[in-house]
Amino acid sequence: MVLEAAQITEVRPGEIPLNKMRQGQKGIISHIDGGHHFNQKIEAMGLHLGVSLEIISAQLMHGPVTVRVGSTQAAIGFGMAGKIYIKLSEQ
Amino acid sequence: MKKILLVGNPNVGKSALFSRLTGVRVFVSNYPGTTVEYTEGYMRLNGERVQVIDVPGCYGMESAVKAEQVAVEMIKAAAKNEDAIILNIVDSSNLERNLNLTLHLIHLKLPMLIALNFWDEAGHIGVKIEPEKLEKILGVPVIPTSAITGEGVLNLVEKLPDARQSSYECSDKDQWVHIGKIVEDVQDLSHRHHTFGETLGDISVHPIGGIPIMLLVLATSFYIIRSIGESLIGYVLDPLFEIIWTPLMLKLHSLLHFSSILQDILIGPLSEGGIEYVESLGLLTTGLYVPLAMVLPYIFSFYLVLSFLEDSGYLPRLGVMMDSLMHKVGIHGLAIIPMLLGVGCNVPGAMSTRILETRREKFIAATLMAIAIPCMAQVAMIFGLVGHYGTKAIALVFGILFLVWLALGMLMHRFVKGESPEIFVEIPPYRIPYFNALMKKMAMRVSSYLKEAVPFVLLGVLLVNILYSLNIIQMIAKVTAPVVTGIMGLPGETVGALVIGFLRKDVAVGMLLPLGLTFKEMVIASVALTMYFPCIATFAVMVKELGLKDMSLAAGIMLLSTILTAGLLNFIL
Repeated sequence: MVLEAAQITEVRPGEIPLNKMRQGQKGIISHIDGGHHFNQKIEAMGLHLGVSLEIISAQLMHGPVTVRVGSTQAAIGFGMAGKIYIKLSEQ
Repeated sequence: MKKILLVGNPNVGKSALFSRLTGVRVFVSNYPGTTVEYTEGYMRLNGERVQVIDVPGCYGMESAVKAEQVAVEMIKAAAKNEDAIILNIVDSSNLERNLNLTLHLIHLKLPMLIALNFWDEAGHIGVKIEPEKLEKILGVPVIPTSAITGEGVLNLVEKLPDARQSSYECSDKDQWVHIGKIVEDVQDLSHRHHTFGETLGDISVHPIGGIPIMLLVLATSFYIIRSIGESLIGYVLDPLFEIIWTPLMLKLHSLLHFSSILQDILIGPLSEGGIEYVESLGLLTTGLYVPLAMVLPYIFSFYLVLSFLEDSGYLPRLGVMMDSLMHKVGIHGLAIIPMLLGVGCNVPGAMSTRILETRREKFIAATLMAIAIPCMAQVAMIFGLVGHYGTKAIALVFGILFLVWLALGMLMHRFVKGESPEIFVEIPPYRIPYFNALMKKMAMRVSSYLKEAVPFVLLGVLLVNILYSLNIIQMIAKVTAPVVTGIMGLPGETVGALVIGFLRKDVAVGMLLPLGLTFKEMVIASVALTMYFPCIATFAVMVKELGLKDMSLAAGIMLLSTILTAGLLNFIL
């Protein structure tokens, strides 16, 4: 099960996984915890290290997270979002 | 130059531009993955015939999605072909992300040029790009266009012969750094407030706020489809048939008095001096009335609503909202698209399972669609047959099918081996559907229905006549009686409908009418006809998409689940 595996998230000081962010929070992608294939897949959508993003919504019950990156919006499955680490911007 | 490949990210307007360049009509929608297979067309360029290829959208040069793999293979093959050029279509409102693919394409060292599409829309949202600067940096022609309105397309055509290899050099590794620099140089963002469309977009994927929107959209869609369909039948088509066609048929009937066989096959038996269009089973009566007066109105109203939803950009959002539910059956939210297309016709529904990545997802999605999603031709007939019992009866049939979908999906999720990846999809901005484009798409869908359905319905009606007169259906009825009558509780006569259902589901449902079925039998028969097997056209596409082995497995599941469901209904109702 993809979902369960993703819940065991690594602890990285000062960073939180994308799937723990709340609606309206902004931050910068600081680390991507996936294999080559995973990285390529999300990078191609514009989600690369150092890019800033904003959470538009997060569905209940571990549903997908919708983010805004530049003028792109993308929906990312909960487990996948757990592999993307964010450094929150000060608000 | 012999070949032009239209290459770009999904949903940047490749198909719209392709249509502009070649005059070939293709489907254009506002969601990533509209085009799952390439389309070829031709255009004249300086007196030369040039092939133009509409390649499915892709984000990069590696992908697990079938449609994107098709694209990457085509691009790589073209790289070996000296006569090919690449027309890279870029969404101007999304320059940074789009340039990633552009740089990958540059590495291929093919002559190329860039269309900055959605130019007008980018301007509206405050994105200003200097095409001259971008042209200078990349060393290839850059032309602003708006494929939907046609703005800039002539200019683009003039520049096609100027396509050349890019002079830009950068390593793969720090591609995003390079892209960042380019964007900084050529793009100017002016600050602006959230537009209404964006606010609506944000609400429609809100975990709570999105739910009423989804229910409203679905309920309104259903209401519009039913009322347009019903009105067209009641006020236009029924009167047309009654006033114009009936007298002609009666006349023909008396002209054919020398041959009762011809009378029967062409017109069927008269009832009290008039014509019962559904029951008579004549080629010129039932054979035309079912596809034109019963199904066509609903095909029209359904595709009107679906096309509007497609072009508005709501479908990927619906996918996000449905994701949790869809995960219960082992597929992700985007699989709502094959399901919705399947309501129109199961054939495009089965084709669009290509937007899913793994064999497991495709198998589950295609099987669920074929079993529990009745196509519009069948829905229209169910409306016609069960409808006079009221909306409750229709709700009962659909409710049962939904439960079957859910239960069967959960079972397949439990037992089908393999992986189901999560949803990962770009959400396009809301767009107001462009009237001309919408009408073009409607015309394509309605005419393809007419071309495919009418001959098959006629064939179906002819076959019914032949099979009955040769006593073949009666024989099959006898053999299958223990299952059909014993378990499913349907009278032996319904077997004829089940046999014809292999060919066309609408004719099959129509064949139930003269049987005088009870309410319970009608519900069971409608459900069974949906589930037991796809029509032959869908079957052929499913074999192609799933392979013979998986399709046989799916067919087994279909038969078994039909008998179980019908048996259960026979017991409960």
